[in-house]
Amino acid sequence: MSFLRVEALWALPLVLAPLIIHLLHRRRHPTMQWPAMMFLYQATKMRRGPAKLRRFLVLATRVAVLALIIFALARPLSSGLFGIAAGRIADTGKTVILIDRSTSMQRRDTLGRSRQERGLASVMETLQTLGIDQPIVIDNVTMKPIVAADLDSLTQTSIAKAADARASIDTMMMTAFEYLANQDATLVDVWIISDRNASSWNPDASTWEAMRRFQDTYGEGLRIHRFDFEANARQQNSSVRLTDLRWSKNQPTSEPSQQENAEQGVELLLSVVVESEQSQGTVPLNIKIGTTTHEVDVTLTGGKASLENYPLTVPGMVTGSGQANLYGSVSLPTDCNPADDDWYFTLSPPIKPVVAIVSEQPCDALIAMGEVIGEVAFDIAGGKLQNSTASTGDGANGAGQGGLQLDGIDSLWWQGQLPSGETAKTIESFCANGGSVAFFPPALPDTAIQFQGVHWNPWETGEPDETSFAGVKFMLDQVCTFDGSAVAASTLTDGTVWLSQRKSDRGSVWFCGANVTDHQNLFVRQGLGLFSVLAETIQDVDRQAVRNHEVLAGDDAAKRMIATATQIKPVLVPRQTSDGEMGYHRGVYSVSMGETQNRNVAINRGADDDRQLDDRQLDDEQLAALLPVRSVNVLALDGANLTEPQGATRELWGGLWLAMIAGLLIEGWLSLASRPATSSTNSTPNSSMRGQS
Amino acid sequence: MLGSVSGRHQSPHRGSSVEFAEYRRYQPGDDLRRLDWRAYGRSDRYYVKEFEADTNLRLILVLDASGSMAYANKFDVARQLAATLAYLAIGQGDASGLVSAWDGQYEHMPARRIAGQVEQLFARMERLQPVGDNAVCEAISEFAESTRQRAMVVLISDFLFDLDRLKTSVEHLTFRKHDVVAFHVMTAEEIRPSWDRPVRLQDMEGDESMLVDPEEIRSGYETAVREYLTNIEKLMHRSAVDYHRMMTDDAVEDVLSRFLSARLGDAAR
Repeated sequence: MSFLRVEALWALPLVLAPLIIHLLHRRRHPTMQWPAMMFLYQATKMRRGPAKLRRFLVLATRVAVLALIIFALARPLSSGLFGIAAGRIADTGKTVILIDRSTSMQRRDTLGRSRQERGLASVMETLQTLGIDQPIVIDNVTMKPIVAADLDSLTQTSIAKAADARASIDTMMMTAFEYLANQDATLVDVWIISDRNASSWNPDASTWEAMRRFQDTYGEGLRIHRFDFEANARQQNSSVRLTDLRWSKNQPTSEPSQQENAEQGVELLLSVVVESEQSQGTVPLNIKIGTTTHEVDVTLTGGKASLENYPLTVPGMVTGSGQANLYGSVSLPTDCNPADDDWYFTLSPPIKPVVAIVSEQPCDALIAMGEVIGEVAFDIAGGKLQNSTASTGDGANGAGQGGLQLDGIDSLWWQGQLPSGETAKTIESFCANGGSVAFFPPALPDTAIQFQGVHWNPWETGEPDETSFAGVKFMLDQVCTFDGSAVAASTLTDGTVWLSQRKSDRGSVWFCGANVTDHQNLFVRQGLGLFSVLAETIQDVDRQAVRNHEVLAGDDAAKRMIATATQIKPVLVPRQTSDGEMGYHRGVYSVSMGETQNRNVAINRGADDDRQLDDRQLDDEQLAALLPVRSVNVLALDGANLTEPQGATRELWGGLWLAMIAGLLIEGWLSLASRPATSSTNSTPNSSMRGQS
Repeated sequence: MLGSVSGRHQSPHRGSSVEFAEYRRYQPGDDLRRLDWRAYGRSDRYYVKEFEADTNLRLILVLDASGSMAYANKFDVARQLAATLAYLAIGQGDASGLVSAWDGQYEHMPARRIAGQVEQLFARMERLQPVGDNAVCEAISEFAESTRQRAMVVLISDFLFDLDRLKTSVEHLTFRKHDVVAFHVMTAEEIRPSWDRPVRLQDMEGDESMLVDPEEIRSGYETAVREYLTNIEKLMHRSAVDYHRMMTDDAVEDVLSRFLSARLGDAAR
């Protein structure tokens, strides 16, 4: 129970008026002589109890009616723990609404209303009741506090619409608290329109720890309202996710076979995971590539089904032809959450591996090998761009304004001091996305510089020693060893490790201690060892993965698209999006980078783990740990109830009036029960009591 | 009525008045002068001719002068009733006496038919002031115990005391063959009080007082009154007492008129 006009409650002591009047009335009684005390004594024994009860009830009813009148004046609200905060918020406090627009919030009830829509409608109705018309809104796309012009604007702007970016409640809350701190707000109501999805709450984030300080600062002044959305058991959600997409390695890649390839098509291997709340059954999977549609039935077992390297022939695709604008999607029949029923991808034709070379001095050996094995996108020597191949496109032009750019690169061959700082981060990200890096030692190794805990040791020159790698034997006469955590790939006869590999997510990092800058070196001069090493790094690269233009919806996708594109056009999207939210909605977009360069980018929902369904829920204990404030109000919205009230709070006028009328009727009835006796005594002197002789 | 001199009241004994009553078979010891020889001639049996005997009345007025009788005009009505009955009795040659009881005491003025008895009774009644505890039962018992001659005992009281005590006293009178009449004087206010607000009630026959909330006690009070009235009627009926309840706003002449008419009717039967 809460009140819009709390000050009216100061009148509550008035409810004691009937009691005081009653007591005063009793004290003002007159004394009179009475002959028939015997009747009084008898009546006292017989009737005092019921009469006393009735008098008590009359008094209680009068008190209750007065209390109801005062409550009515205080404009009470029904909202359980919503509490007294409502009144104070309406006057002086700040109201912040955090809107989770992520995938799980798009789950719909039987009326087709998404959780996001229902939560927002509930908050709007509540705020309207409270008279708050300019709340501060933060959603997981803009991540900025925006003061709403009015409540209606909440549903008219993009924040009411779905997005595919992963929500980050912790960051949103931190943003809210930072904003409120600047506003010097002391009374704060925070509405969190989100479900219990763990990926949205991100319970392991360090932000929560910092946020507790804010929560402690506000103390009783902070009240948090969150929602619990009851899933309708009759509606079962399924989701699909593309886990791998690659060209078959059996594809011919030489130029003379292009005509043949064009006729036969190129084989694509597709891997998909379907998760469903339905434990068993068959799910039709729709695979669309360009204008071609394939339908495959997958069988659920234990709520999961998958396709592993499912072969699909893409007709008309020619290896190395540069047809980079094909795209497609994998989709399920629409269910209660359409936001996780599809997955988009782009297709790049199988091409020669693209390598980038960074060296201290122009390294002819690496350049020559690069041209033999694949295509050298760019060659940076001594920090200067030596050569760049325009055909690689995609910004694979070496060091741009943002540092090393490795878009479109399959393998990076790095000779020199190990990278550090932003460059190291770029390379790590490159590896994480499936690229491979081969590090070769600099002329003068600096042992203090490390990359992923590995550093070069000084050069060791000795007698040539035989070694082998990938089935090829060759000689090494100069080796730079290294320390750090990596798996030895090849050793000398004395056990010295000169080549090791370190896996990094989808990619790998190679540390090769051989000298590639000295032309007289056996390793370079013979070339066999160098070729086998570099070929292996290329072989290891997930270059067949054709999804190098696929990103997850969110800030990274938005930054990449905005940073590189001059124009972005939707190609295959489930819903229209505003220009300001490019990168936060799934679909395939055509990104223009200048007049000639166009490419397709696939954006998918920002799920950050393998589980796509929103069944990874935080329990009450975990949520309580994240929100340790005393006043946390949980509003349950039942998905199965079609007639559930939208508002979290509402004024109780109707109920109060009914209660008052009932109270007055009861009071009247209790009073009437005794009054007629008095009146009859006064009007008729009781002829029936006359004696019969 | 059994009296010591001839009067205007029918005696329970057969006497020598002119009004024939019945024939009765002669029994040894009967006065031979009362034999009906004509009847002997007709039936050859001895019959004695009996006539109704007239006698005078001894009227004993028992007047309750306890504190409760001071409420409203109850005592005035009681005195008026007693005085009227005494006046009527003495006026027709009957003896009349008075037993008054007040504040735990009682006084007995024997029944006489002498000149000036009315004035003495009136003077006594004039002096009486209702006060104190009720002593009617004690006075009745004392009278019943001490007086052997049968009389008409008229009880005039509000009978606001324990009915068990009243029963004992009344049965004592009826056991002594007295003709007992009871005038129950009440006020309408006593039966259905018109309190409309809490009031402190002070006992008129004692020191006790009680704070009464009408809403709280009304129902129980009226129930108690109903039970009491029912019980006293039963008591009087079972004890063969001629019971009359009168309200203080009833006219005394009407009450007496009804009483005397009923008496005359009984006598005629």
